[in-house]
Amino acid sequence: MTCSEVHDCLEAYLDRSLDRAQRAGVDAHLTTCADCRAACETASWLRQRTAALPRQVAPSRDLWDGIAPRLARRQRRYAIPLSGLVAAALLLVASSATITLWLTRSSSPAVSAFASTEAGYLSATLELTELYARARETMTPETRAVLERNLEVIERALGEARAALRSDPADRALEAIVATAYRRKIEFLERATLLDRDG
Amino acid sequence: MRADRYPIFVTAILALSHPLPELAASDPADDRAAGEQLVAQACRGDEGAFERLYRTHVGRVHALTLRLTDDARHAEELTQDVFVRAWERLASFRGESAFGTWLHRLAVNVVLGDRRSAWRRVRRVTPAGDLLELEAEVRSVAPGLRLDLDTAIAGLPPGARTVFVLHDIEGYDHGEIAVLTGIAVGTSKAQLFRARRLLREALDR
Repeated sequence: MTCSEVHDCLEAYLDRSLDRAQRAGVDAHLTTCADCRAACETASWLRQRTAALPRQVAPSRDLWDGIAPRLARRQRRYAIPLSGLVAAALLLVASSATITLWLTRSSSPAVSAFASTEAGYLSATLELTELYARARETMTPETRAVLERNLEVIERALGEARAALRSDPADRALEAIVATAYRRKIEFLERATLLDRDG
Repeated sequence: MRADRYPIFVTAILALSHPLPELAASDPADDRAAGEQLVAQACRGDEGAFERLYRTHVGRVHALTLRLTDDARHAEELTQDVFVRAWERLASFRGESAFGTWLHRLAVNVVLGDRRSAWRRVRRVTPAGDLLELEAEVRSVAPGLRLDLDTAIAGLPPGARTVFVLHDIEGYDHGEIAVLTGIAVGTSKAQLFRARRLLREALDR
């Protein structure tokens, strides 16, 4: 057995879960390799000590007092009237349909499948952009600036990927990159709308 | 497709963080049943139920944030962040694992995400040479002073401490740690080896 192989099965060796042949192999290596023997002894020695560590540690104060107000604030922040939701939904359906129509008419049959996919991504980003704009109003200027910078990077990446795909619409790898860039933008917007660092 | 057609921004976006898979459940079944009821109530907006979940799990979450950050005050802030984040994401908890397992995973992500943000802030204002020194720093301990294990863990460099806490205390394997932290499996193994050696040296004094 090599040192690397011994290191890989060290935990199982200490757990006594190796089969007889493997265990014999580790034992043989340990008798001849001082470094691995030291590593094994140290791992075993630390195991006994970590087992005695408390798995729970109470904070020095009741943290709930700082949590509860943040929960209530979040509920208020995202309380959108039903009429607003209905209007937003109608707008999304209309914009999604328009975008899909535009994309599919301006593309060849070979790329229309991706155009439809892209329309879905666009629809999702439209919805999230609206929510992000709402959340943005309550952020501190510093937080807002950081998010804007990050969003700009994502937008530029997406723009460059889409430009590359326009120049070579049949390239499936480029389609995958555009889709990934959309997903990153969607994920970013989702996270940004849930940010609650503004105290 | 040529690699030089993809600008650096695209490459950067592809490397951005992604949602992490859930780990297997480990909590006892009765805890799970009780927790499920509270989680269901909390999902419906019951803050009282969520507070009971907080009371049940805060000790375990705080032990993790404390050991990963080595800063009691910051650990308390992060513990609060974990529960606020959990409240926000309750809808995404599908019961495939125990609530405690899900929450614990979330806590690891919150702490590591906070560290990545802090690291980026440091990188903006710190020359690269100083960064290497920061990473290599191991706090000195007065000769002859015996340490307890938690103190010795707190004295480890951040990378080694993270891997040691996640592997040797929290029970994650190297593959899981690699996913959580964004390092290679081999790096995780090397950091664990280094952490154990440093701890042995510190505790043997």
